[in-house]
Amino acid sequence: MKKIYMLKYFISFLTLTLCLSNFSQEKTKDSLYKSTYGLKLGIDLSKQIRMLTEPDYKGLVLIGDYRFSEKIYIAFEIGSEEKLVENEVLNFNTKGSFFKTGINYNIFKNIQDLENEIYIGFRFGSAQFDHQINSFTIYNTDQYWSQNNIKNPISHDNLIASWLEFIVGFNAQVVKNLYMGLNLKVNRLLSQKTPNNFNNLYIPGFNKVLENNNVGVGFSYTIQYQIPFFRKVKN
Amino acid sequence: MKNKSLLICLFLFLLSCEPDDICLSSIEDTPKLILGFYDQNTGELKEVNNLKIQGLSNEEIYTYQTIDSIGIPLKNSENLTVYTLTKDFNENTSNSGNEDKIYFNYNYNWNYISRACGFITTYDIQDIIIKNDSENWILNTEIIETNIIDEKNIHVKIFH
Repeated sequence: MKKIYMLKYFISFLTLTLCLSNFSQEKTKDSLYKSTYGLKLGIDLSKQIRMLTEPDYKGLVLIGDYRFSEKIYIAFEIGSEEKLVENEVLNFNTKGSFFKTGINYNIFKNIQDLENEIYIGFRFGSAQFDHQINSFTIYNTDQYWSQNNIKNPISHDNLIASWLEFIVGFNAQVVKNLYMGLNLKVNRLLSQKTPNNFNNLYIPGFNKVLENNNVGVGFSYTIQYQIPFFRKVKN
Repeated sequence: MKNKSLLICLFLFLLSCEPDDICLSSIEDTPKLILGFYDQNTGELKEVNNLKIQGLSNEEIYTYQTIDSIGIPLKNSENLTVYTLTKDFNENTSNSGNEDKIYFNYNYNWNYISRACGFITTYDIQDIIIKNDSENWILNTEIIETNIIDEKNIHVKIFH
């Protein structure tokens, strides 16, 4: 039911953005090309794709950026994730929300009046989250008492983490003011509040955390609508 | 274009190698309770002849051999584990040998190890009781180490 609801949400969102893009400005046939400055708002669709492929995952991430100068965009991201992590010895839920802010630097030189972006950038991210351990296995090579599976819910609440992300991606304008993009990120944990007698194995917004190093990876598939503020002649 | 495909390759590589998903055998598992059998008079390690160790209400015999020390597993989520220690047991004759019932009372803790290994149990021995019968072969016990966190040393001395 939830999936259908989410799909409906997307379809209506897409229709809305397509309708909005019809109100595009007339082209000025200047010899000088102008580029649009505005605020982009959208969604990270990779989370919805993940919800369809991973049954124990829920996530909603809103993204946006504001064009600060010709090449610099101030980017932000806000989201909420819930994930059931299950392996041979652990079964736990992580639930929480996160916020990221940073800068994108456009390295792509657009020809004529095209407005695409290939950017590199960084984000500072922070998350607040809870873990709930549902069951676990006692690591015991001796199976004499066959009592190694423990079903005992343990909660670890109000945990926090912060990290730095390096990001590489592109945004392509598919129709006027509607952008689709893809980006890859490498994350590095800066600080975290680890639970007593457990570890932060998954952090919302950060993704899977490895225990032997503090580097993580992620990717996003984004769709954004740009609210144009003004147009400025390209340098 | 070349750069982009290189990036994708790097990304896939980072996704595929997850070394912390394997529980290495070098990581110590839940410790057993190490029993040492000592001579009541000399205080020296002394072998118990044909010792059978079996958990109470467990149909499987844990061990049957002549030994002077052994590690036995304690239950992970109960405060009491009971074993029967039978000296001079003959596997061809049921009810042979001298059977003593021993009660281990303890507190247990589940300690987180890692994503791949999960948790281990550590124990805090409270007391050990030998059930009285007409002829106990176990004369006395002594707790050497109350905290059972590894298997390096003998935790409990059993005098006979």
